[in-house]
Amino acid sequence: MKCKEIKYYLSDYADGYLIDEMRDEIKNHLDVCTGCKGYYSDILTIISEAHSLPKEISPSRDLWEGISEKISGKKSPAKIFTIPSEKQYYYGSGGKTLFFKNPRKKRGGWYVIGSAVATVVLGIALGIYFFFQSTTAFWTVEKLAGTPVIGSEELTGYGMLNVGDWLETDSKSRARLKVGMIGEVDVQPESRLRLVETTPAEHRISLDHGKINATIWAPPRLFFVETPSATAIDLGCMYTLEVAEDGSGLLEVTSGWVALQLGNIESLIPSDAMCKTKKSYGPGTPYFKDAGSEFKAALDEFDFGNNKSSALTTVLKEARKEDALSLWHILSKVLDDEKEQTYNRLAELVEIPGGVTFEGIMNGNHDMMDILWESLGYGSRSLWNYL
Amino acid sequence: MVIPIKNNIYNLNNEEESFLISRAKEGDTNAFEKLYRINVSRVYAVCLRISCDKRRAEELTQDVFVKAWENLNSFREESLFFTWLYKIAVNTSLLELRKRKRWLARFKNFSDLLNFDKKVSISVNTTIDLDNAVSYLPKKARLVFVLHDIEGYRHDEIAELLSVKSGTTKAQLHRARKLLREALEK
Repeated sequence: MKCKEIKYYLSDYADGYLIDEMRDEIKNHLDVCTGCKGYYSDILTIISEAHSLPKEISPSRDLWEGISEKISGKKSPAKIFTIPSEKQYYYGSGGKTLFFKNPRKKRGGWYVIGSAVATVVLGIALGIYFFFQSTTAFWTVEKLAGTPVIGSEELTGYGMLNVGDWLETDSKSRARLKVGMIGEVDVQPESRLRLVETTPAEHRISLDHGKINATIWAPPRLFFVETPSATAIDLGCMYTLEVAEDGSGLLEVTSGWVALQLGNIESLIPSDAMCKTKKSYGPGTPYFKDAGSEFKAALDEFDFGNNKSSALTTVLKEARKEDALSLWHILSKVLDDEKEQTYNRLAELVEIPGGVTFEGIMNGNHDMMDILWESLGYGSRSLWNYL
Repeated sequence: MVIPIKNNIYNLNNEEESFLISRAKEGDTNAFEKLYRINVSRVYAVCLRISCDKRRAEELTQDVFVKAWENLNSFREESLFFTWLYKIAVNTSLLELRKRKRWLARFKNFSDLLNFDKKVSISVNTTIDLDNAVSYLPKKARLVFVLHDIEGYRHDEIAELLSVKSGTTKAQLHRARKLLREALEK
């Protein structure tokens, strides 16, 4: 992993949530990288300062008067205590004697035995559950609303989605899939998906149509969603993926990263960005949600329309500095004059880093494209190449 | 047993606390006032951090103690009184926050964060006005940061309180720390 990915995981690293392999990798990286070490130190400082913030803050005025007024008009708490016959507690109280019940009632022997048996049975059940969850070819499904259907059977509460099974929701149904132990996928109404594969190394579903919200907290590249127009590859994130009846799709990333791929075409979509896909075209060019409407419309025409040349002109004209994300992707989709125009516009919007030359980019030099990408600050491209 | 009325009576032992609770359950408002004095600063702190509004925090604190009075008999002394009270404070604050839609608009825009450097000063070697910085975080990130990093809640507990998944709370915590870190860089 490179610095961008390391920083992404440092928060979980600080809390001890990562698996051993990732912890070791990050620890080794921190030993040699002063930049990440400094970043980690700042995160620890923030956590430490948060822990040491005062737990008590006095209000600027006495609030009791208002409370007293409110509770004096209310019925006082009912008296529920009785003097217990055994195990009484005694306290002196201004010359009075007060008796009240021991809050921890003493339990009999059968209760203890019953509790022990129940604990053992529960432990065995949980062991079986987690064993099968990690090694067998199914996911658990929870009904959230309506009547989701697995195969031809209606889901009434919890069920199993086996490899090869289809899950369908109608206009009033929703369901939640447990992606092994690595995440959750909420299936929205009017959706149809199939579990293709689930192993410790890979979890894969096929979304025929509909909408899913995925939250994956495992290491990247373990969760895949196939659609008719591209495959979404999780790189550690939260995202929404919607697929229309015609197979076209729309991906919106809330947190982390997602890659979209079809054949040799690939798009990298960071947090707060979106990307359309279309059958026979594959993934389009990613763009940020807050990009201008003219920019978005021209990008759509560039990706999937007939008038690509004039669309590109508009895209370059309307591009903001933030839209370098889109322009970087376009560099791989155009040639000659159009590539030169795109590069020049990009150079106007952002600073071209050292090691990147006009000639290199024009010749499609992969290393220079990587350097250029990393200079844009959207994360390391090695996240994709490395994994 | 005579316990003077003043704010922040520390080191109240279990017997003294149990005594006050039992008296309050019997309808003794003086005993309840003592419980209020002992716990008000802690309750107010969490109400303030969740609401980010001193006036609202004061109202919420009053609401918390009124609810506590009304439900005192449901407190079975299986946990510390403050733990029970604290849950009421968090739930009351979150419930009120959900009702106030205008907060969404207030914290929706990240532009506030861009002005962090004018409002907060964070450095490893200087005092961090973290409370101030946290108040400028987007709402969900702020709630998770307050509950996890300041108040010590676990992710599963926060997820239950906020009715979200624990993966979401982890993502929001990462986001909160990242934004605070970015403020540190300015």
